[in-house]
Amino acid sequence: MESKSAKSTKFWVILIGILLVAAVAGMLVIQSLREEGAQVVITWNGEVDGTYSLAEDRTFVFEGEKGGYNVVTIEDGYVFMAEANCPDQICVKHKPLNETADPIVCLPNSLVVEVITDETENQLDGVS
Amino acid sequence: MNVRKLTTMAMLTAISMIVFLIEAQIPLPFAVPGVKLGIANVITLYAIWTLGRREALAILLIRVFLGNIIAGNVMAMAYSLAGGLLCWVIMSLLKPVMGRNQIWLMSILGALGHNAGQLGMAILISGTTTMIWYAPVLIVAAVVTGAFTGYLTQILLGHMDKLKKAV
Repeated sequence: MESKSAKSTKFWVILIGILLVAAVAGMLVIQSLREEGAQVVITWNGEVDGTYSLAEDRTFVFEGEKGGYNVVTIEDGYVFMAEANCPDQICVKHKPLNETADPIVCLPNSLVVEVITDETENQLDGVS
Repeated sequence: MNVRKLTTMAMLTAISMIVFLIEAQIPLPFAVPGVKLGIANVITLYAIWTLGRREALAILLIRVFLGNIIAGNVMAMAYSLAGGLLCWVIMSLLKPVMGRNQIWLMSILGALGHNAGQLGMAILISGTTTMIWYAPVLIVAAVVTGAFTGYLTQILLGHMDKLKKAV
């Protein structure tokens, strides 16, 4: 009985170990994929609110019917959550963003702030 | 259901809610949405182990419902529910094949389920898939916090044994 238990412990430890290695590898891959963005996509309550340029300083206020309150600020090429009334304040603590990959998220108020690189914008500007 | 069981369940529900509410007040040094220690899961594990799966589910559901109402965060209920239910399903399925010294493994796998459920619900509600970037961090967090809460449960069960012998 004890050997059976030890065997299954080994099985689960190996399985979790593989998952852990894969997750750490995933973190490194995400880190390398990160690149400087040009635009901010704000998604609120499951719908895209809009796409805004990181180059333009702006402030957005989101007030939900259910009492959610968030202030998103774009300043000096960075976007950050200036204010939020969520209990965890995770979104406010998130460092100002100017790169792609992990977005600023306010889960309780269902607000996602994501930085993207936008090729179409460059084409429109005729930069290249 | 006898009175003893009912009282135990009521007490466990109260304890899990207190733990849940206190934990919500503890600020975390890192800003990863959905990551927390999950000490309330100790109660779920303890209940699965000592009372049964259905009893554990009842305690879990009441904690998610009342806990989020008291915390004034009704929006978070969907995330708590998705995470809590998936965690319970996984741990319930594992219960028959795991020994008492393997609760920490049960807890890790349950925590992985919890974070997966929460992430799935977040993607569903927010309507964006970009949160998938958080998956690796959430996996690492689940293994660390799951092992911790599982180990706590093993210690708790040991102490409760001693207590029962003394009484």
